[in-house]
Amino acid sequence: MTSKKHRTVAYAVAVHLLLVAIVCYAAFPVTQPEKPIRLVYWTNAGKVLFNHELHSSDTGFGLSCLDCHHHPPDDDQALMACSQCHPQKVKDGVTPKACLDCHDADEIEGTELPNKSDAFHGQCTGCHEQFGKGPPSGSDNCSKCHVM
Amino acid sequence: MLSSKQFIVSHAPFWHNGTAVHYRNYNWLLALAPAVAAGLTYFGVPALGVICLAVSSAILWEGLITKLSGRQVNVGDGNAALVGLIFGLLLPATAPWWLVLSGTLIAILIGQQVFGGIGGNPFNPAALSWAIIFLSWKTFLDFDSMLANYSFNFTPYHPLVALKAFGPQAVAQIPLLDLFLGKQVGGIGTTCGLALVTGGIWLIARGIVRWEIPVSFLAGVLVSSLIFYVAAPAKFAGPGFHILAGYTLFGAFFLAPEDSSSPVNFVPMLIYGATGGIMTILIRNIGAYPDGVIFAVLVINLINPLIDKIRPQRVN
Ligand code: HEC
Ligand code: HEC
Ligand code: HEC
Ligand code: HEC
Ligand code: HEC
Repeated sequence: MTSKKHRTVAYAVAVHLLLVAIVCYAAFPVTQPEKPIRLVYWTNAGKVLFNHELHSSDTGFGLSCLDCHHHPPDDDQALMACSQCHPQKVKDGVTPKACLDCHDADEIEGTELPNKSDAFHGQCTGCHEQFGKGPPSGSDNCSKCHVM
Repeated sequence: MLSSKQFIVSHAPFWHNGTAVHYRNYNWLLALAPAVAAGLTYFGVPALGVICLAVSSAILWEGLITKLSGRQVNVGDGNAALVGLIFGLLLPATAPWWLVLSGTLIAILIGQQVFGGIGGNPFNPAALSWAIIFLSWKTFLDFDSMLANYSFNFTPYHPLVALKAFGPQAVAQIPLLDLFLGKQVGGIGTTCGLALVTGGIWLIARGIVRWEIPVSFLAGVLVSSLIFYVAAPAKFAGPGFHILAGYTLFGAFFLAPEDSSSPVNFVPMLIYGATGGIMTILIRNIGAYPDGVIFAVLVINLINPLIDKIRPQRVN
């Protein structure tokens, strides 16, 4: 084969692969699954990998969904992101918008709401201590969750 | 002017097996087929998208760049396709399209064309591009977060990240056979040891890659990780793990022996490969990065012109 023929073939291959690639990217965009599998948090103390599937599946740790998704109590409506209700920074007198879907503002005034990282740390380590398994609180244990 | 020499190029022996450039590149592409197949099996359609985009964009970038710079357009030799494929196989399956396009552009333009194209590049173009992308958009090469939406039936975190962050106990439970069969978090084409070894041995058997570089690379990994392991087994993982986890096998068979950035003499090849293996372990065990293969390959590329001077000297 001459090099010109090679070139034609190469371009033909390139164009076809490009079409396949466009179809793959367009038709199968990366989507969040309905129920998270693993969640990654990039914090200024390194990333944290939380294995949601392992914690919540029967073949894993077998925890109940509502153990963690705690509000409103014992209600499937609670299956939402913690960050919807626990803001990055808690400001006095500001109610997270999510609350107002179900409550009137005056009804929940003055509720003590931990910010997001306190909510995570509190719930994750609290439960681990309760089970005696998984990374507990204390400064020796930060690196069991945080990948520095 | 006493000397205006700017480049010192290795002299004989050049090694010619009587075939053309495109023959070599097509063989490389074929040798990567098992790794591609493994990647598609594990990661599905997103991996197909990344691979197709990487190969096609590399060809089109090279065509465009050589055309614009008035050079001969050689995309038919398969070199651009190979660079694109190798780069694509290093990526997580969910790499966004713009990352793939930037990566292949960097590999073709900065990795190869600014040095005059095929044969002139001092660094492995795909490895160089990976390193630049890594320094610019680190999180997009973080396999743990990129693959977070995949449900795996094996330890679902990157073995080398886990080793670095949580110590060897965290990876002690992972069976080596799992790693060898690709049951690990990693790049599209870099996780399945079986596929990589098959392709690599085939390349060697065809006479496309000389055995010295991959074998000495792996020997370098083996010996140096064994020394660390024997000295402090509580702090470091064993050699089997290091050979099978991360980019090691891909680096040994498909990155280090790249034609233009690796030596051709016997002793230099051994030094080149072994240095790469040792650097990999030094970076993993005492350096800052979980996986050291890419940076180790770039380091040996850098010293390649020096060690390639070690050859039989003429006696005056
Ligand atoms: C161990 C605690 C835990 C358990 C058990 C658990 N989850 Fe979660 N879930 C979380 C955390 C933490 C998040 C992340 C919230 C965030 O990032 O703000 C989350 C997020 C989610 C989200 C995503 C919400 C969104 O909008 O992003 C869904 C849906 C969800 N969980 C459903 C479930 C279901 C269904 C179950 C039971 C099978 C379950 N979870 C069990 C802790 C848990
Ligand atoms: C629908 C809103 C909502 C969501 C979603 C939510 N919380 Fe809360 N959370 C609250 C409210 C309201 C309080 C304070 C009142 C209470 O203790 O129930 C609270 C309190 C807490 C506390 C302190 C509890 C205590 O006993 O002191 C922790 C810890 C916490 N949340 C963790 C989480 C985590 C982790 C998630 C995600 C898995 C989450 N929350 C999701 C509304 C929410
Ligand atoms: C999905 C609907 C929903 C959302 C969103 C919601 N709540 Fe509630 N909340 C409820 C329900 C239902 C109850 C009644 C629970 C009960 O009494 O058993 C409740 C009860 C409460 C109570 C009474 C004390 C208690 O724990 O029983 C407080 C305080 C409260 N919510 C605060 C909040 C705040 C603050 C937010 C926003 C961060 C919020 N809620 C978001 C549904 C919701
Ligand atoms: C309701 C209880 C509960 C909550 C809440 C919980 N965990 Fe756990 N977690 C467990 C248990 C139980 C284990 C240990 C199971 C075992 O080792 O058999 C565990 C183990 C772990 C481990 C070690 C095993 C692994 O996955 O590699 C990590 C890390 C971890 N949890 C992270 C988290 C984080 C991060 C959170 C908060 C987002 C969290 N957990 C919230 C119950 C919980
Ligand atoms: C059980 C696992 C776990 C342990 C143990 C843990 N963390 Fe975290 N940490 C998390 C998670 C999950 C987040 C993400 C929450 C978020 O995005 O705000 C986080 C977030 C953070 C953040 C970022 C907060 C922000 O506002 O961005 C800091 C800082 C932090 N952790 C420090 C620590 C320190 C210090 C320790 C040890 C005392 C520790 N963590 C122990 C799970 C853990």
